[in-house]
Amino acid sequence: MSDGNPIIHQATRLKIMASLNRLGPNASLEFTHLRAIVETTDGNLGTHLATLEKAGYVEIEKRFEGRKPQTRVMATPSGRRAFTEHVAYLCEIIETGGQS
Amino acid sequence: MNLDRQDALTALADIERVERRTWETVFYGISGSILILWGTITTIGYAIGQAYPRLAGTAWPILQGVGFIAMPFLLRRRARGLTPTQMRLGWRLVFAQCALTAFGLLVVYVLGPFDGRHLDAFWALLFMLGYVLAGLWVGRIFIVFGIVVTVLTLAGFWYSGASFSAWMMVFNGGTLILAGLWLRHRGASL
Repeated sequence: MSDGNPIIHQATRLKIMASLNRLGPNASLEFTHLRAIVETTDGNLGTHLATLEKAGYVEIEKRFEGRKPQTRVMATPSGRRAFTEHVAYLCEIIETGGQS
Repeated sequence: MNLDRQDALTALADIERVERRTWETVFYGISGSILILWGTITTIGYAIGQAYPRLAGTAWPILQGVGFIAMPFLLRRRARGLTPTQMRLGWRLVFAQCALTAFGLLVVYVLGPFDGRHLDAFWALLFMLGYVLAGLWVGRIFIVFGIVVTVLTLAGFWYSGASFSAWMMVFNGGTLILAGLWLRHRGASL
């Protein structure tokens, strides 16, 4: 059985990756929308995004939309690949019914 | 990692829920713009119908044409970054609206002629049926929205007297615009 991904498996990070992976390539979500989808706080989301960014799984872009600062988050190709592999690992556990 | 079957099931359920919420958020952002477009068009149409009833028959096809031309552009602009599957659903909804319009034209042709008041109510009710049906796939909010506008349309049809077009301008066009603004506020741009 393949190994799971401990970075992605943490509950909030799993939700972040699930959400970003649902978008098409090169699409990003604004921080506040991602926070609402993942149902967490600013601080918690920021911390987990930093972990994912360090792992190379997401890209964070800060820009101005008019006069308003905006933070947008996008899954990288390696982040998408890691998420897909982790989902395959979860499915494998369910199919085999065993522990990993 | 040390995960058992229950942990994996819980994680997959979380993923499924988040994916659904993400799609809803993105869809709200896109459909909000489309609702504002059609809200503006219907508001103008009903305003013309109220102020210049004789021009309404000419104005509506022109306004509808503008809407149908603008919608694909809007969809392309707002939906950049969707996956091909999501994009296909967006286009299916556009085609569904075309099919509803074609159906409506056939009904008017076969069962008509109708007077302006009946036509105004018919088209509004037909498109609200479309919202209710679309809501079965894309989110309950569209079902609620379709039912609310249907009730308001029927109330206006029976009780608004000579001000029916003005009633529809406010409660149909206005509700479409307000709902569109709300959806855009709730929804994400990509």
